[in-house]
Amino acid sequence: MIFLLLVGFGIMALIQVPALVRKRWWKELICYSLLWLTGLALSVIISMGIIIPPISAVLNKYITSALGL
Amino acid sequence: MFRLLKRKLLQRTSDHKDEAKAGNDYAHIKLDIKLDDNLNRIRNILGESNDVIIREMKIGRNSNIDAAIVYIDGLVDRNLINHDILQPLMFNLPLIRDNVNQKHASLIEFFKSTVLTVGQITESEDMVTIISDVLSGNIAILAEDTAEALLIDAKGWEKRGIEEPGNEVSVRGPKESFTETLRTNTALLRRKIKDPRLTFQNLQIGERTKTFVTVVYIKGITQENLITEINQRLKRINTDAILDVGYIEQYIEDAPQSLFPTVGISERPDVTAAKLLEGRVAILVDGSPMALTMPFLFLEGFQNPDDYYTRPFFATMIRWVRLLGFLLSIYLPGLFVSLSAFHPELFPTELLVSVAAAREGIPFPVVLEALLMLLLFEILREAGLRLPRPLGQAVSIVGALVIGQAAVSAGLVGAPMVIVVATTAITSFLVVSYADTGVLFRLLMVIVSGFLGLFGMVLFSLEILSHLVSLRSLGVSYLSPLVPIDFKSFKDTFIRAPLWAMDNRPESLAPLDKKRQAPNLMPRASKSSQTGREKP
Amino acid sequence: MFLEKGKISNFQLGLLIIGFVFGSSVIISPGQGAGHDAWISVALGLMESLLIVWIFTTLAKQFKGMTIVEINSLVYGKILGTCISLLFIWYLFHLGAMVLDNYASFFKLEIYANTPRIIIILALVLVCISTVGRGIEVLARCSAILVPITILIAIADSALIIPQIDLKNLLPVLDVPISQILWAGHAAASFPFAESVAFLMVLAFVDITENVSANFLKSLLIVGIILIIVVARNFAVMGPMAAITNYPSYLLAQAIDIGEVLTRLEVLIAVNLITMGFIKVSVLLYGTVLGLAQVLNLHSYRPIILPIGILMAILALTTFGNSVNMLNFAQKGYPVYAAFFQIGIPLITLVVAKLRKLNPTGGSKA
Repeated sequence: MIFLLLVGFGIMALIQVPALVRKRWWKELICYSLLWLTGLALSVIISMGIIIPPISAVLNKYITSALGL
Repeated sequence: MFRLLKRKLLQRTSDHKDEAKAGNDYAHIKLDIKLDDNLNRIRNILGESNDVIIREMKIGRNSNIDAAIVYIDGLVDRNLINHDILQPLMFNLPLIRDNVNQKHASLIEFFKSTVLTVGQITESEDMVTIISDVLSGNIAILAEDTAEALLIDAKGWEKRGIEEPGNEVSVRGPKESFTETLRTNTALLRRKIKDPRLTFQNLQIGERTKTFVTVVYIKGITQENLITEINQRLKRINTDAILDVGYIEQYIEDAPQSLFPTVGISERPDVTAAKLLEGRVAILVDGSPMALTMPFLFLEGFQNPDDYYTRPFFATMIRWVRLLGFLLSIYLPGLFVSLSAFHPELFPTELLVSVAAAREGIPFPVVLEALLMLLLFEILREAGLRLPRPLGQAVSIVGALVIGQAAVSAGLVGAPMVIVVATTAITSFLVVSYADTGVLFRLLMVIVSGFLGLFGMVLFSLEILSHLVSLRSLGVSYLSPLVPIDFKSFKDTFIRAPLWAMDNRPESLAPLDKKRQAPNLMPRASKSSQTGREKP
Repeated sequence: MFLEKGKISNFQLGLLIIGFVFGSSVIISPGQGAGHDAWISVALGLMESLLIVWIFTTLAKQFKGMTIVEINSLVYGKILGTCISLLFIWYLFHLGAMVLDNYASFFKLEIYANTPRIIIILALVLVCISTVGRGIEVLARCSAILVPITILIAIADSALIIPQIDLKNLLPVLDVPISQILWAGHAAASFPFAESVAFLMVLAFVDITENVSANFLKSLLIVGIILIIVVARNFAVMGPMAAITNYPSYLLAQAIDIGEVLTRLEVLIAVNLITMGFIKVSVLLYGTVLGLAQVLNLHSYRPIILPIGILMAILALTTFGNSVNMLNFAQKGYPVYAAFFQIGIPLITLVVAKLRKLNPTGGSKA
């Protein structure tokens, strides 16, 4: 599973990064790399089974407790 | 692999202009005064081939002027050489020296204006022109003491006569199709459109083939920027060979990475003439019996010349049949696969029982079965195209018996699958322009269905829709007049409005002359022909 | 900025808005929590959202050709404006993930019990990514084709179920406590009507900005009326069950059986969902990507579409955890959470702009 993820993300990078480097769009490259790394990290974490706190549920808890709904 | 990556990263578009120009080292040679020098140069350039004929002769009253004609045997009309060139030059030139000194600036000019009894003559002093003309079937005449040559059009090679179109059959319409000779094709177009504003622009493309390419359009209807754009694209082509119209298509098309063609191809002059009259640009290539038209819109693929030669109701119905057939040919295998594999509850119950029974004992999953059958059909089709005629019967028997009968009995494929693929096969021939697109589309659809069923099919269709919507052919939106919506042009899309109702040309090509015909042309009987209303 | 060169016509914008708002409401009925008076809540929500939309369009008309990100930096100055824009972009991103999750849950529950959720989510996201990469014009044109078909199917669906309608199920009217109806009304405004705040990123590209508010309101009215009819019909046919089932419209479509020929029409509902979901997610993805590109001043938004799409898919997978959380959030937390972005940001920006007496200096097509 993790292997598939790595392959998938690798293909994604291989297709898009050379074009960015060729055009010398460094800002876009940095932004892309950050997003790519976040995506990779999150998907690996999820596929390893570590549960990420569900964002909407957390928000819900705060809002309902704050407003007492 | 890292070298590949590095190359991709640092790649710059290089300028290939100098690389492709091969063998043009005689580019700036001009003709010399001395005949022998010229002939030797020509011999060097054209080489030792034995179809290069250099015929030297002596002309003039005292046979004292050396001259020569150069031509390629096989390309020229021998009669013309003998009667219209050699005869006047050798027999009928008694007073040549005196005439030249008194009236004409040069020998060559004298030949051209007075002596030679041929239709098309030009003169040139440039070696490149002379060589390229000789190689195209012209005859070059050179003389001593003259740094000019005469070029006479004497094309007369063996060619195929005008035959019936093989691929675009029309029941009612004319049965002529283009041939490989450019001049014949331009003549066929001229016969359809006798408007003086029909314009032919000539180019030669291809470094080694130097193929003649003609851009055809009707001045006053076609938008100027379409013509400019096409000329720009043609000038960009910098390759060795242009062997067929398909080559040009692949170099100038708008979306080389799309499944859909953005260039229309036809082998019928009446179809090409109709497209020219709507404001398109046609390209004819010497050596190819097909004409290219641009821009090409999606809905043109569903139009057939017969639609216009028959009456509107039937034509509209046939259009609907064609559209339905096209949709079937693309969606049916995928639909069957996705219903069998993911949504069996969508089958009507009785059908489900027979499909399930047929699937019993088949070793492959439905997707593989479908892919196998589709591939098999493509193999059959391709083999059927290429095989020598005597074997035709054998292949159809093999195809029918082996696949149809034996495979089903052996339990390799199910009978419903054979029916599905057979239907697909037949309907795929309904729309000629999208036959190749349909094949790819169908296969992808089956694969996607195998993964995600109906959901996948809808998503894939959405992706194709989004792609079609973004496609443009020469700047015109591919799906016009559906997108952007233009109700006025709907008269020729899913319906075929009667001819007398189609007053305007389609808006999508922005023609300069919008009106096609006068309004109110619906046929009706004139008063005098109404019988049965005699006055008492 | 040169980020988007496409232009869309008012007609296309109108259809795009209809498609967007229809989005996941094809299967998730708005107005949950008000029992059989849900249709009243939807009507109330519609009215509330008309007011909210008026705020958006006034903002768009005052700052012609500028997306909300650009407006923010103009109104609040660079730093504060960027922060607020980032918050707004987060909302679009989160909303996209939530829509994807709703959507995948439907397919996983009803049709594809064995397929992993991520595949369903990824399949849709990939199509949205490639469409967004082609620009807003392509999206608008696609919606021009898809939305009329959807509306026809929705109307046909409702028409075919008329024989089974029992209006007694809607009575007694207004016996649900008023506070519940009002709260559900506000919930209906935040989902789905005022989610069209996402269009603050798109209104900049309309060719004639003067007609934008009339257009927007017209589209909302059309969708609103269709949804009121849908909700009313759901309750009329199914009675109190409609409040309990997950997907009432889908269940309803399964009940259509005309002469044993017109059966299985729920497939059309599923297809509707796919197309409208596609439009909604694409618009949200587009808003996110364009907003981020404008905030960071990138050359083009195309390179970042793919990673943001993937992140949206990942968020969709994890944002709710389970469907109980989702229902809870939808009824309680979301109306409050969304109100900040749907009403708060546009209103405050408009007020500040008016106070500062700003005139627009640049535009997205400069």
